[in-house]
Amino acid sequence: MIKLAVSLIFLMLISSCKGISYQQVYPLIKAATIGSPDLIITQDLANSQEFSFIKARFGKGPGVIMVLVAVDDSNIYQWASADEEMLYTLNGKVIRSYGLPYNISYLRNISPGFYSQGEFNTTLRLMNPNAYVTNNLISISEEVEILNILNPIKVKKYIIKSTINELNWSRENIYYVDINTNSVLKTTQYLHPNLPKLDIEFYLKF
Amino acid sequence: MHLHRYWLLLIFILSSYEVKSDLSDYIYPKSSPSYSNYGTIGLIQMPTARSLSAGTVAFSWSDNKPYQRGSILAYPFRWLEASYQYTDMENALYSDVAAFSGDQTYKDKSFDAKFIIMMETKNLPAVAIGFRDLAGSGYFSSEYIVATKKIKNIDYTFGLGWGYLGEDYGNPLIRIDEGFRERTLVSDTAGGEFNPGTYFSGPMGAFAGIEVYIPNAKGLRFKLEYDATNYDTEGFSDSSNPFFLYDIDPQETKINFGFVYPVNDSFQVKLGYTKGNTLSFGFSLKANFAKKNSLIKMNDPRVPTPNPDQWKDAAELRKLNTYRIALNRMGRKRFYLQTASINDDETEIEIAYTQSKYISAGRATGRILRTLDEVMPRNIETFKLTNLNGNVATTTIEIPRASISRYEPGNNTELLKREVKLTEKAYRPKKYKYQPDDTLPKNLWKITPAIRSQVGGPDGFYFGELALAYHSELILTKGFSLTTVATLGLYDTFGDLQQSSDSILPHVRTDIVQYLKSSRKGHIRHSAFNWFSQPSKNLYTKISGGILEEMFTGIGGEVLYRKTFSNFAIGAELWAIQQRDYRMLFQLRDYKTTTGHINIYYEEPISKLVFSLKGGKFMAGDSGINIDVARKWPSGLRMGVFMSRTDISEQEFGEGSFDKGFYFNIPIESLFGTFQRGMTPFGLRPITRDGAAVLNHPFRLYGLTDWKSAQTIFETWEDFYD
Repeated sequence: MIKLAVSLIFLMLISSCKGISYQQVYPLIKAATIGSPDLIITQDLANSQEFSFIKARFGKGPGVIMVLVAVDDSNIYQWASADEEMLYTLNGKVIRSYGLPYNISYLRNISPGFYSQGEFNTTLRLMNPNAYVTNNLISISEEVEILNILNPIKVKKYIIKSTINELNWSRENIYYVDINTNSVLKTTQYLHPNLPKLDIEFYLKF
Repeated sequence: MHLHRYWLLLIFILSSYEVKSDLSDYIYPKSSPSYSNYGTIGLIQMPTARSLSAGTVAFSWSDNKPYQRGSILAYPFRWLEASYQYTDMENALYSDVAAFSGDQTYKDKSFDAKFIIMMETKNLPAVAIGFRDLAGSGYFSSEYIVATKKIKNIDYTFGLGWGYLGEDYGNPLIRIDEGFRERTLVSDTAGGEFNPGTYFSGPMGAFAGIEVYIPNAKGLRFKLEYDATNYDTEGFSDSSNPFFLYDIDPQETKINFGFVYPVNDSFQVKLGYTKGNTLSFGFSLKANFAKKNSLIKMNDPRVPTPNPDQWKDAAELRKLNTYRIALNRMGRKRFYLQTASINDDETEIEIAYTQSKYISAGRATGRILRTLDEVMPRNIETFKLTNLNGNVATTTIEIPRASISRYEPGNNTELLKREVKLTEKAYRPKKYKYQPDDTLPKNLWKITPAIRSQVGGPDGFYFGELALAYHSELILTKGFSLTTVATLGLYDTFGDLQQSSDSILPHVRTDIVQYLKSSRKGHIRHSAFNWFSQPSKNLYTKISGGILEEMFTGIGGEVLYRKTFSNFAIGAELWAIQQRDYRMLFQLRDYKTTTGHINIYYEEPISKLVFSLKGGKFMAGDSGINIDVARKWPSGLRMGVFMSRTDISEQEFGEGSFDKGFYFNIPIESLFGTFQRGMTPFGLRPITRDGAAVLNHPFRLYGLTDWKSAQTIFETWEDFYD
């Protein structure tokens, strides 16, 4: 958002009458002041999708649909966006990414039931710039609540504290797990110290 | 003394933070060099030997009483920092006549340059030579040599200064030449001259400082420096000077300190304490417009044609289908087919097209050819694309069809380039077999918001106008059109402008304030007939008549000889012009003249520098030359400097002594998320004068034929599969 504001200031300082159209300036001002509009997933939109998909949204950016393109033997789901960004999730947790401004990769796969595992350490590779850090994950709370995602669903909400001691960096990630199917329906995660929070909603078709 | 011990302790603690090298970018994020109060990259008041990457444009603002300073900086090369400083000096009057000044304070403008003569290595520091107030009033004139070395998380700087950075140390350069002993203030000129005879002369001073990157503090830095500025003589310190208003607080200590916080990679804020009694603050913005996603990520991908086999089947039915499908599918992507021909054995299609969306020739060519590859009949083996601009041909690109998909995996544009053939031709529409119906005349128009800016004038740093602009292009026949830009003013701050011209030359440019103030309600910026033609494959002509620019109407023409595989081009132009009334409608003033030049261009292929030499008669009747040296990038960014020398004296020219300045053209698309061809030109002169003034007629042939150059096409070839 600040980059958009910087862009507007540059525009004002340097612009002359060169035909910058209102249609171009308005979205820039709107995005710089109130963020981009969120993508709302309705039942009709969900039904219209042929394959399983997620809605992913970084910070106040526009939500994007990412389609499930593969599931491997380890139950790792690969999601792809139209802009060729890729997210790999294991039971809702993003364990690898490609095409983002800052990408990550967990060197050791996380166990599918990681959110109720207590505390454990894993090696995380941060990219752009490249660095290997130890990521400490600790489950700090779990409670039952109702999540409204297309329909009200009873879920368990897990809060996992993610810490990188070398960087003095710590965030809380949230996972909403369907009590009946034990699959993650929604999550809020901080993947990389330089990225804003990532909200994901899962719409599985199987 | 105790204070100094605490500083040393603090530095020791901060510098003892040892980290693994691969983590340092996370522990010390956003570590781009920061700006001094003087406006250039540096410590608090002192410079450093740091610079930014080539293609960066920056703006810096600071308040350090009695000065408020806005700076515009450009980095045409990693080793060169060129900057323009605009300083509001609160301790001096606007002019030497108090009644005229009112409560306006003095506004000083100057140019600075810093050359990095040695880049930092593992063991050696970066070293730079810099010049402050290089060709301005001289109120901040100084030179310095500075070295900067980063060790762990601290950037150490040590430097020597002359001029206002000079103290009472001896000048070692006296051993070379006695002329370095005294620094003579050149006072009998109109200002704005280069005075190399004074550089590095007079007493020398020393300065030093550190910039400490604080670990895990989101990029926060602490700065500490020993300030060599001689505040007793800098600026308006002499009470006998008629501009003098009040004495500034004397320097209580030579130690300054401050903090810089980078909000993100583009935006920094700072706070400092100088002279032991003055709080300073400021901010800076920067962006590298040489890069594709400099500020906003481009989100304008190529959209593949759906059902390509069905298009191919339809195109194979008859030739007219082929032409119409090419016209339709290209048009959907904002490429406009003008004429086309399929050869007799139906293996080759040649298309002439126009477009106004892409700066990058490689990207435009790639998007057209990939679309044609999707929809053209399967028997077509070769594509020939001729780009038209103003109905004249630039260069024809010939490419075997099979190569397009062959090199797409891995985006192997380098191998693809080897199979491309560039040829030159004069565009003759009637030689093509397919000429789509195009009902002429037709008028293309749009209404947009427009901002008119006056930056760095003597009355204030920024004055502006928000207006609605009507743009139209009435195409009468191919190559002959009437282009118009007219505006309706909505809001402006031009009422506060008061500077009037003191020029003894015809006021061809210095009545700018009258033009701005009188045209606030609305005006015609430009309305002229233009006729372009191409008598032979490398010869281009333009004839224009009407309201050619904001201040002049007239009639005239331009001719250019330019070849695809030559880095040289030569042209000429001649104009009969008359000055417009300040209201900027249809009325005229009395001043008439003829102006014309011989133009020579050279594009140096390694440094990417473009040299332009213009010699002839300028608008105020003076004769001479104008030299322009610019660097251009594939993104469209262009940064340049210019200077002129004509047959008028420095006294006739007035303040500034001769015309000079720098400019940059920023591609508009870097400020948005979609590709578009426009540029926002931004130029700075120390002062607007009438000498060496050039007519700003639109659609200059050298710019119009930019894609004539093989160098330009291949510089952007890597965008082919984008």
